[in-house]
Amino acid sequence: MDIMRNSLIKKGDVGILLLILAAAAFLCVSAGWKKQGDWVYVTVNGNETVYSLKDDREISIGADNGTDAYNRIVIKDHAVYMESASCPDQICVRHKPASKDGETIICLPNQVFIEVASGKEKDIDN
Amino acid sequence: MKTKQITQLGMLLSISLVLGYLESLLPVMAAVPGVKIGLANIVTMLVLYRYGGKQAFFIMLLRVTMAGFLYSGVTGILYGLMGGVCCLLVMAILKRYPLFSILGVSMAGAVSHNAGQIIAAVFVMENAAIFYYLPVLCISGILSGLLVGYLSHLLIKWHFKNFPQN
Repeated sequence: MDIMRNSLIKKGDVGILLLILAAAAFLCVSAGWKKQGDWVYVTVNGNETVYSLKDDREISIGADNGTDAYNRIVIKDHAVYMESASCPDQICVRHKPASKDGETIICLPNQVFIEVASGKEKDIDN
Repeated sequence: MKTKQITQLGMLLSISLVLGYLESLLPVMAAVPGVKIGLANIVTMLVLYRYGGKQAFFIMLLRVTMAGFLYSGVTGILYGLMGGVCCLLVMAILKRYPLFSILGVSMAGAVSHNAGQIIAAVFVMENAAIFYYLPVLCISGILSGLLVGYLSHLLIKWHFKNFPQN
C-alpha cells in the first residue's frame, strides 16, 4: 500500500467504496430474483386500483379531473408501461416496461404510481 | 459566534444556493429521479472541515429550506432535509476518524443523502418498492461523491492557504 501513503485516497475510503458496492449489488440481485408478476396496482393520489397483468388494456388517468394532467398506462403482452403523460420530465414514459414482482413505474409530478405484484390478488373490491 | 464568522457563513450560504441553481441549469443527466452531482455540497464540505459540524448543519438546514421555497416546493424541502440530515450525520461521524479521507467522507455522505431521500420517498408515496432505485442511486452517489470530494479537497486546501485563521 505504498502508493496510498502519499495520495489523497486512504484505506478507509476503499472500504466505504466496497461497502456501498456490496450493498448495491445485494439490492440488485434481490431485485433480479423477482418472479413474473400477475397484478398491476395503480395508485393515483393515494387511491389504489388493481388490474390483471394478463389482460391487455389501456388505462387513462386524469382525463376528467379538470386539470391538464394526464397519464395513459398500457398493459400489453404481460407487461405494463406508461404510454404517455403530461409530466414535464417524462421519466415515467421512458421507463422500461415492468413485468416482474415488485417492479414500479413512478410519475412523481402527477403522483401516479404503478406497481407489479405476484401471487394471489390482495383483497381489493374491484 | 463572532460577527466575522456570521458574515462568512452568510456568504457561503448564498454561494451554495447559487451552486444549486447552476446545477439545475445543467441538462438532465439521467433518467432516474434523484441523480445529481450535488455541487452545493462543496460548500457544506468546506464549512464542515473549516468551521465545524454545527455550522455545517445550520448551513445545510438553511440552504435546503431556502432552495425549497425558491425552486422545489414543500415536498422538495422534506426530501432535501431527510437527505441533508442523513448526509451530514454520516459525514460528521466519519470525519472524526483519520482512516477516511475527504473522498471517502464525501462518498459516504452522497450515498447517505440518496438513501435518506429514498426513505423520505417511501414515506411520502407510502410504498416500499421505491427501494429498488437505491442501487442506481448508490452508483451515482459514489461518482458524485468522488467528484464533490475532490473539488472540496482543492477548495479547502486553497481556503487553508489563504485564510489560515478563518
